Amino acid sequence: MATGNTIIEVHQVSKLYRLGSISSGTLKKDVSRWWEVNVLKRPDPLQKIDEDETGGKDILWALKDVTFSIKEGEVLGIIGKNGAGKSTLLKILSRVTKPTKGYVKGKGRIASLLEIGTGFHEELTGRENIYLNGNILGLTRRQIDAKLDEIIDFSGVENYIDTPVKRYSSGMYVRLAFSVAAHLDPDILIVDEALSVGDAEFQKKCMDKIHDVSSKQGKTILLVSHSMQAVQGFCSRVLLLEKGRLKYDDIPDKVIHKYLHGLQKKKKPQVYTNPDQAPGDDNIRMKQVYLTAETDSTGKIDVRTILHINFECWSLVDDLTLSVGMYLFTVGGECIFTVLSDSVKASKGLIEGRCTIPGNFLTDGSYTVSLTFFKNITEDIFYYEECLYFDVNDDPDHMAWYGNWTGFVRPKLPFTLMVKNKAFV
Amino acid sequence: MPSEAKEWSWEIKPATNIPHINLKELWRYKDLLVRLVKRDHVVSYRQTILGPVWVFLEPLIATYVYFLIFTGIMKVPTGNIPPAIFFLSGIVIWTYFSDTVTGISYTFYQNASIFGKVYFPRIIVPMSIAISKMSRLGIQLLMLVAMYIFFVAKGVPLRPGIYMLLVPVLILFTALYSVGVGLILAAMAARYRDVQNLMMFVIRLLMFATPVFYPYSLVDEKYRLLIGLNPLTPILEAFRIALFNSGSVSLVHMLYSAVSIIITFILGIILFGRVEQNVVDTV
Repeated sequence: MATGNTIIEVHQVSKLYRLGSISSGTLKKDVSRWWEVNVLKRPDPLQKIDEDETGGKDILWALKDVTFSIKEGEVLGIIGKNGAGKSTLLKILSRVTKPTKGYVKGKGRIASLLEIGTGFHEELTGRENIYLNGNILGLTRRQIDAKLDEIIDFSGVENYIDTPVKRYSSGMYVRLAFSVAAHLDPDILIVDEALSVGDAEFQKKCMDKIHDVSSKQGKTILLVSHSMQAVQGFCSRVLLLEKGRLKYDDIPDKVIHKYLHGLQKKKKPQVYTNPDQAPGDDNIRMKQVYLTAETDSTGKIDVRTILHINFECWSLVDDLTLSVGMYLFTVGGECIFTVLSDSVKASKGLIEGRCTIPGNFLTDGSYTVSLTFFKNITEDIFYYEECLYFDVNDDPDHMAWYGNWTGFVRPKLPFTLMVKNKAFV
Repeated sequence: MPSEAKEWSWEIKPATNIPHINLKELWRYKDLLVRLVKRDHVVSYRQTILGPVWVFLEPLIATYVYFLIFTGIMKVPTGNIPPAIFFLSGIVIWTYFSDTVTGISYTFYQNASIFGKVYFPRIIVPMSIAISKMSRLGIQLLMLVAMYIFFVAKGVPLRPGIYMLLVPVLILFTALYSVGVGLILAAMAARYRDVQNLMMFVIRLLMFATPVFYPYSLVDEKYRLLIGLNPLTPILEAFRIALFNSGSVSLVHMLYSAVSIIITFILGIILFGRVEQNVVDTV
């Protein structure tokens, strides 16, 4: 467990991306820019961006002033939605790219399991690739020699170890790659949750290995995930990133609680009475988004409940061909599905929409809804992000019985078992 | 030991204009260098029938083609040196240059996915290319020696000159120049894809502006300065003096070549080092 020594210190790390890219990418454009600025004395279009670092449209602070430290032996979870800055942080920690500002100091060797199979060459045999991959990941030949048998053994492809990997099935390829990565013996291991490779048996093997590294060897681990639940049982501390900033840094329960609490506020649907102040664009303004549930006497939403997602908006223009897309996300930011409405010809006034999610379809968890509004079917005019939040509870009658459900949805499909009273011949 | 907490073993800082070269770290990755060189050889010849024989065949075929064109059709005089060995001596050096430059210039482009995931000193990749091509040059030089002996045995009066002692230095400078040019192109290609398209063309043109198929002495007065500006010119000329004791190169010309090669090399290291720090964001 944590011995108290700081092993990584991240100080005020920021990373700026210019969405238009620094140079325009081709020589021709750069030359024409040079021509315009230096010869025609026009203002430099890219210069403007540099001056206005905070508000520019084409720039993005993927990370902004992120400061934290990791102690030896700690299992740190990093969570956040897609685009929250997790992968940028990982790239900086694994030294693939440099921060724009700030610094990171650390001790020992970092290896990450997101780099499995990096540098594998199709033409080389499994054995040759183990050495190549190991060297790329910073091991010396002697270190690989010592671990070779263990790696081959773990991968389970010993019969094909001297065959070029281009003849491997994708499963074998991944197993071999993971095996090398898992035997790196780093001081700090970065694990990306997207490590959903191979079959179930192999995945279990991977998780066991990671558990092993953390509990028995006392190594420091960074587990990156967009699922709150994934980090809860595993980590001793969790960082929540939101839009490039470090939002929370605490024990898992507290971070998750705070995060959910933030969403809780969205549960109370806000009703706008005046289109002028309501969110929207020149065509439409949102009045409200709310949930109605066909609950039983308990009033609790569970997996069996039929849900209606309702919204009302004003059309500000006449002759508007409107259609709406609805996205349902998990609280971790995974999109579960998208539904597209029929289009409707609207004139000035109120428009009402409703999408029904059948009962026995969603699994338990927390969800957010986002809406996109389209004009003339194709032109997206307004994206109303996370306008609704709700929880779905587990089916109380079956909770103890089934345990954990895997998957994003839990549809109740016709699934019958039949007992045929016939003896074995 | 709380005092130890302050002793960091690495530090990640924003990109700098003058890259920091960490030789100690480079040394730790020496096994990777060796591995990449091996990979290059294995991959080049796996699934070929002739395998490593291609190392010999390529320059021999090239020599034969150029022999047909320059001696057979254009009748370029090579003095009392047999054209075949004259061409071959130029071709091996030129091939090293062009292969190395081309190989290195693709560094970022070809390794984008690895560079995007794992850190290691990026310079290892161009170094491995330079070394791998160098080993081919070594084999080809042996072939040159064999051809040399063949001609001497046939009674052709070939006599090596005192410059023979300089050959390792000449090859070293060829390597430095090739790596330097390659690194500059790699750095530019990371930003402008155009460079890759242009490069093949320029290298081919440059071959004719280098005394590969003709002695420098044959160059028209009008173009002497232009051809002489190429740092490879005095190197090839000196190489031929070493082999055949014929040719001419001044000390000033040699010094010019050495200085410009060193400048090119350093420039290449700096540009490459500058680009590598954030290349992942743009490639």
